[in-house]
Amino acid sequence: MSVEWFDLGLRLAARERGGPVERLRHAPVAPGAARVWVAASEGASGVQVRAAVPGGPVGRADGGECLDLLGALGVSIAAPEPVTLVVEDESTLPALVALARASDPASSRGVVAAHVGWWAERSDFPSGRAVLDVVQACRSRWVLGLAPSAERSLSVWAQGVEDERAPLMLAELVSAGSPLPLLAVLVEDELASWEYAQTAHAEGRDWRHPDGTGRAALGLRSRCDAADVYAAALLSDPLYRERAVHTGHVVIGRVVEASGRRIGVECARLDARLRPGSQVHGWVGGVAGGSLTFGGEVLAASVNGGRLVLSVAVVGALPGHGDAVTLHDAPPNVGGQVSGRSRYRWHYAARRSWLTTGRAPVAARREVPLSVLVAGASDDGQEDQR
Amino acid sequence: MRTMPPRAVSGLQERATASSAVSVPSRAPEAVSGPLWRAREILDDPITAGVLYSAWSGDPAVICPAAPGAGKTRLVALLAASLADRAGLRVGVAAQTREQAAEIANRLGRLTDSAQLLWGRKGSPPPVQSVRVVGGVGARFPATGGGVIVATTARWIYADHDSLGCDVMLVDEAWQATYADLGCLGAFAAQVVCVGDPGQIAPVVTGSTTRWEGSATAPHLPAPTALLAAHKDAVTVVRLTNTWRLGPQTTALVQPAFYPDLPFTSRRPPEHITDRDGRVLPEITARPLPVRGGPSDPVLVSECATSARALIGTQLTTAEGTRDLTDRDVMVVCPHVSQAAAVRALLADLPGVMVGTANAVQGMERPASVVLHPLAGYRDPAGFGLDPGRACVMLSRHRAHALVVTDRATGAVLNHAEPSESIRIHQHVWASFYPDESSWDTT
Repeated sequence: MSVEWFDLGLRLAARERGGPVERLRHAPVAPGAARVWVAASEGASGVQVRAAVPGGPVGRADGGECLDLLGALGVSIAAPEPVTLVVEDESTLPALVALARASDPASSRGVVAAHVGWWAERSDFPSGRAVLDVVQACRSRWVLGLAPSAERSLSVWAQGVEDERAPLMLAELVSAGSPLPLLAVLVEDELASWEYAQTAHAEGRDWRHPDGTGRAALGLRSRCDAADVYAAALLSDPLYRERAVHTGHVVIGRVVEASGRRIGVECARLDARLRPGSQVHGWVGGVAGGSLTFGGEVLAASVNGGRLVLSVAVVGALPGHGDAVTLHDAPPNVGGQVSGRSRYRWHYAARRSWLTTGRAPVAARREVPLSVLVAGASDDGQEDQR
Repeated sequence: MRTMPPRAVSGLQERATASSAVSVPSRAPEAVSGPLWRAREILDDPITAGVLYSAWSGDPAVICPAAPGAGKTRLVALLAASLADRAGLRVGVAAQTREQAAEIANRLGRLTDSAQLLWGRKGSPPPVQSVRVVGGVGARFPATGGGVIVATTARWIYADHDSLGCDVMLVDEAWQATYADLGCLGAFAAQVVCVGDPGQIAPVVTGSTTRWEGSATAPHLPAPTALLAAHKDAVTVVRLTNTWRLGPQTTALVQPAFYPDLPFTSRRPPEHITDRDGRVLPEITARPLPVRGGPSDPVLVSECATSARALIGTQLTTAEGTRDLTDRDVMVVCPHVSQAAAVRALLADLPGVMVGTANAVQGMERPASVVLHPLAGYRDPAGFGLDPGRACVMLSRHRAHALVVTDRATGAVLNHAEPSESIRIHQHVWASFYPDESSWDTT
């Protein structure tokens, strides 16, 4: 079965049931944090905002007063905890950022603007703790019996709810239940970044400044680490794994060879994404889960008689010949990620190179033998950019 | 005998004279006095000699955009060995994968005794001979004279820039490294040489990059692209303008489509494949199929497998003679893992046929390839299928013959798509396959 057929099956099941069908057993959104719903639109007098907190009335403002409204709802970089921005579309956050950029940093709106700046930066991170797009979150947790394009509208998720604060209710719903196991790692990172933003604001550093070379590099590394953790978090969900079997991210098979700490797994499908060198996590049992867990590395992949066989060096529990096993990529080593970012920071902080500082380089010339000079002299492909 | 253009010689001499007065290196290199060193063949080609000159003379950044099959790995190995053994410099080499690092180390092992491969303790040992493999603690440049340390970029990031600082850092497959990673490598050396293929798949970045949208120096961009944008005045560009893999017909297709800024020429000796009826197969050709079941339509993968099977037993003629084409001479390239898996299953009795996705076969070549067009089955061209880098990799793996399996509807899909650079490139490629498409019956 292809993943397209699997998805279609879910949709048909939702249609038959007349309600959503789960894609995930766990909540894809980190719990906790105060939330504020904001919807921005372009009006005749500029940006207009509607905003509310759970249980509170809907406030309305336009232009620069939008930031005052948010401030009154608790949005401030000086607050002890960050507030989660709940949105229903992709246009609200850019509109808020534009308002924040236009505000006077020295005014009372400065603390609100800095919080908006933090939202803008953290919206690239997948935990849903800083910015929660409820429509996207609902789509990742459930599937409806509709065409995929119809799912992109808030109205289909909030059917029958007349309250314009429906996004706050959906935020509550989509974060109910136990969260994906690794989300705690992302929340920790979120809080560390909040503290950093608070310190930066207190020290007078302007969040509007574009990233320097080192900050951009570290920002990219952090985003990739977070994305990798989130991908691993999804694989820890049994319903997600059911689908991932059809994308090759989860491999089910049977042990056909066992020698020492090495096993050969004959896979049920050929489209495994595991390659030689892949670090894997596995267990004895089906895709839903099992008790005997092990780790290891894929040493080789071969096709024998039309079947893919993965040779795996095993660490931990050792599956026996004939055991059904499930394998997927090992989750990232969170300690290793922290260490990697710290190495990144260290290399850039050394500021010993024009590449890390961004300054123009100064050539340190060496004398070159005439033979080399002459040999290279007829090169018509060379082009000095100076 | 080679005649050097006088203008070029004087230009280089001026640079050498002027530059030698600029400053002195922080650590005086101990150049080997004699003209003999094992990598001296780098001087046989003026382009590779030019790269050596630029690096040796101290250009802070040298970028070498290379055509597919231009000999990038060879250049990196020759350059590293020459800078170490002839110029007496400490040279770091950053590869993007463990396989590439091992390949460079193996080549270096034949060129110099001063190379080491820095390899993590985890995982399987590297498949290398004649080169010393060291862990993080054991790695050191020689106290005197030059040396080379090879590692993956990821491994360099975990190394100590104080103890492993070097004179020059060579970055292999540099278009697969991010600008962020290049910055880290910059902490090791004041000079960088970036060698790579600008037409191929961009670095794999899993995180969101929307924060830097529109920035020419964004951290996720291919390192040489952003480096040129950030420090254009400090960068020397030496183009590797010969392909030793692609024949003239493929070069005529691939170069203008994917390398508008890198004109290159085919230097491949004549090669061709003759089928069982004695017909010489074209260097690159396409076959249209009616596809109604999307990218996973069985007609596509079946055609790929059948075509690959049909190639085995045909005759390959090269400068070395004529022989039967075997399964090890054939590659099938698919855009999706699931398609590659299906083809692999259909060819299970031919284990030598290399079947893989564009990402998996990047950097590899075979005499013959069967390519599943990246837009086959699609009625709404999406980013993945449109990626020019992916198409470029797929269309540039073969030496003698490539058959591109296509969907008859793709031309119409491209014509109805919103215009973009990617669409334009695909239309160019499509038109070269099917110049008379307008006469097709598309019902």
